[in-house]
Amino acid sequence: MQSLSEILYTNNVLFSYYGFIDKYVLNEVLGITKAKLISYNEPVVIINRVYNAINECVENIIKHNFFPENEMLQYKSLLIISQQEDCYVINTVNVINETQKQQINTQLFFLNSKTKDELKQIKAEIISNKNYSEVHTAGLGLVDMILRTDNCIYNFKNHNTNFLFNIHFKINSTTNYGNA
Amino acid sequence: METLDVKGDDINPTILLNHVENKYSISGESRPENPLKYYEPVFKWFNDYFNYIYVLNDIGSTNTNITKKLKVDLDYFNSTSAKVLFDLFSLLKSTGFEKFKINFEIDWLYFVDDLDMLDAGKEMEGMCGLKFNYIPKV
Repeated sequence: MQSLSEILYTNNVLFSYYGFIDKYVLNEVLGITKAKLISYNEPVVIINRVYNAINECVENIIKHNFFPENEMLQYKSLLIISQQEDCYVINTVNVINETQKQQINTQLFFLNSKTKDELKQIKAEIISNKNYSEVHTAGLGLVDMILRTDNCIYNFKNHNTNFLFNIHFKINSTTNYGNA
Repeated sequence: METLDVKGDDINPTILLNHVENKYSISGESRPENPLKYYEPVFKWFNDYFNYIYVLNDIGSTNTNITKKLKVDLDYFNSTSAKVLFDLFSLLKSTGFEKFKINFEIDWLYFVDDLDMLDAGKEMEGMCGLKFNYIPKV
């Protein structure tokens, strides 16, 4: 059985974080990841796709924190960014409640069934909706992530009375620069 | 007409709206905690500006078209900022041009290999109806 450090090493993990995630953690993650990708001489389009996926994933985690303030530190999440031969992988796990699970499941099932052109159309419709509110933009980040990444896999697992939501994005680093 | 000069940082864009020097720009990174609140002074500035120009030049009676350029030089903007930027461009179109005949064009800067940013500009242009000029940078 591999040790945790061996798993991290053999999976070429660029960054991993487990704990309470807030805007300060997000800024650190983005800064470190961007610096690493620049040092690898990745094209700007790839850097921005990875950057965008991390940002939208983590903003969603922060936005959907349903714990009361005095229990907020229990809201621990996992974020792993790794590099594979031909892609970058962003993987997050966070706690959600039953209502959120149903909403996310419906949205992701719907969005994963769409082509890139259909996703662009959905994104345009949300952006141009004149009645701005959190409700109308709730799915915008999700649409953008799926549009600008190459593979989105997700699952839910029971966690006490709530659920662990695991979402996994791949971003090809070798082809499809004009894909999104 | 006062200048709006907002210094940005790692998450907020730098904004310069200077009527005297004819400089209008939004640059840097845009993922504010609350984009609506952050961009609120920009919307207010443009509304004031249109009224100011209208009174100054009596555009309503002369029907003179004025063309201005807003430089958008963003390295990154998140999805919520996209919504706010669209609303801003819509204001420039619906109020600026259709009501006051002030024609704002968007100078959309993008890194030469960032086709996503170029596409984002084209999508915005298609939705808001303003003219976009695409300016690659190295």
